[in-house]
Amino acid sequence: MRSLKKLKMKKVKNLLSSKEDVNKVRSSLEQKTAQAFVDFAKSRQKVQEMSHLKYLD
Amino acid sequence: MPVFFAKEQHVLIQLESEDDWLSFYNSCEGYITLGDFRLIHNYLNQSAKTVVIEKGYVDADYRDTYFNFFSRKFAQYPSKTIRANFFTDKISSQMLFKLDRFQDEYIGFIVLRPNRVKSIGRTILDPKKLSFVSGHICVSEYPVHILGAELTATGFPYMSQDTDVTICAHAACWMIFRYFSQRYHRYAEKWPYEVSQLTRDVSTGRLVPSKGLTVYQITEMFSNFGFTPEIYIRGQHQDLFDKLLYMYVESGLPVVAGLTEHSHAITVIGHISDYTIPLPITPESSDVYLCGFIANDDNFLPYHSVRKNEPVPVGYWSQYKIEDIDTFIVPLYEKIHLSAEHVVKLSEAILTQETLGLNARSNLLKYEDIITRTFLTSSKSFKKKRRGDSVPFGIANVYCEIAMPKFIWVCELSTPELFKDGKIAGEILFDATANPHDIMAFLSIHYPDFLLLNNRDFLTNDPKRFSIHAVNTDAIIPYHCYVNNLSEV
Repeated sequence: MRSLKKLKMKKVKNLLSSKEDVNKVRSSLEQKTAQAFVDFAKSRQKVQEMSHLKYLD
Repeated sequence: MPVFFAKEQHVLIQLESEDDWLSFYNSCEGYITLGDFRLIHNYLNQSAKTVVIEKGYVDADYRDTYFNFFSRKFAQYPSKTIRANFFTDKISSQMLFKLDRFQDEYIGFIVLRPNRVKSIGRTILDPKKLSFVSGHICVSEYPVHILGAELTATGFPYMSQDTDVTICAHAACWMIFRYFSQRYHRYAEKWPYEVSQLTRDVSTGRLVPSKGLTVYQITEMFSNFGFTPEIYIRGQHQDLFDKLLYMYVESGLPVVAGLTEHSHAITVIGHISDYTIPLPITPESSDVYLCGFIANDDNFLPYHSVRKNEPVPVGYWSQYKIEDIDTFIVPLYEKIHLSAEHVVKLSEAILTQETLGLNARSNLLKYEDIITRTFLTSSKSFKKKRRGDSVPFGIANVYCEIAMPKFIWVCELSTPELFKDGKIAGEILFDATANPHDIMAFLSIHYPDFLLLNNRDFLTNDPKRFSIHAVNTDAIIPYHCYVNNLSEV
């Protein structure tokens, strides 16, 4: 990308330089969000069950 | 008495006294109920100095309900309406044919429907011309032609229910549909009767005359209009509910909010935030500054504020509180797959991650000190806006050059001190088309001294998916937060 050549920042080469490093980041992010995402899935189901009960006139 | 051309089709009234307002009522007799007249009088008494009344106005929205419903009644209903145009200045009778000279003074218009019960029809009023309205609001522009003069009405569409074809939930949906059809060519205009027919679910009774709508029916109407809606219920998102509502409103997406206890629906169209409140304990998100939401409640006139806390502040405030809102339905564009709640958790996870987190990668900004503001926007608008901003180190051009989906989620990073001045220190961008379980949904991570780009086309953990850059600098170079979704009033 042309804009990256003009970026006034240095390229970092020793960070996330192997598949293992990236895998660690992925696993860590998955772990941090796992419980919340399970809860969201459960609430989504509950929301659908309740929607026909909410009556607005 | 400054009433001009009283017997003509176009009447001009200078609103200088109570008698002039009474003349307005008399000029519109039969087309306005006494209750609605009082509502308009109380609302515009301070702002409006002239009203230009257009008798025999053909209003598409009323015509639609007239032909499909009112014309079938035994009693006669006129097919035409009255449109009342309000101005902040006194206009002389000689200027009646030159109203385009009064664009800066034009508040907007109210259509009055001869439906005998609830007379306020399609209404566009400029919130900037109303001294009691302040905050951040979704608005669009509507061309208006009066006696050949072209004016522009700016505001968020409003109409009251007619209690026959439309009830509060229809009115709330119509307002959103009208806003989107005006602002985006992708959406076709829908008139009130058409809106009532966007659901085919008759399990709770006939569609017209309507007695009410379920959240399911509203969602069906949204879907048939062309949205891919999401439903949120307070009980299911107890801690996040208000934050999620704020995030969608901050994204410029008006939502239909349900107040089940009151069997009522309103349209939330903006928010009121006080950025001068004492510095909050960080890390926090920008909804900590929230004082209330701005809503169109069809039982009142537009821009009613729904407060967060007691007491009721001075201004145009509703009897309702935010906690009364227990459901909301968001009109999402079809390519927005990632929901607000997922973005909240993904951002948190990234910002606290051991390798990519703020404390790991930035020497200038600590996670414990930040205020985040998260919203949706189109990548087109984001690039356009960022291009003109002074994002440091040439990052603005990188944003312009990287491939982005049509919509992106933006999580801006700031501090309470910077945020007060509308400045930020970085942001994380997310691909709004990503699957919620795709943990690599981010497009870029930008801290004051760090930039990571993530090529979304990579399927694997190949390190080439990342392009990482850093800079040694001893101070944060702040730049403007993104302001485009809402209009500041």
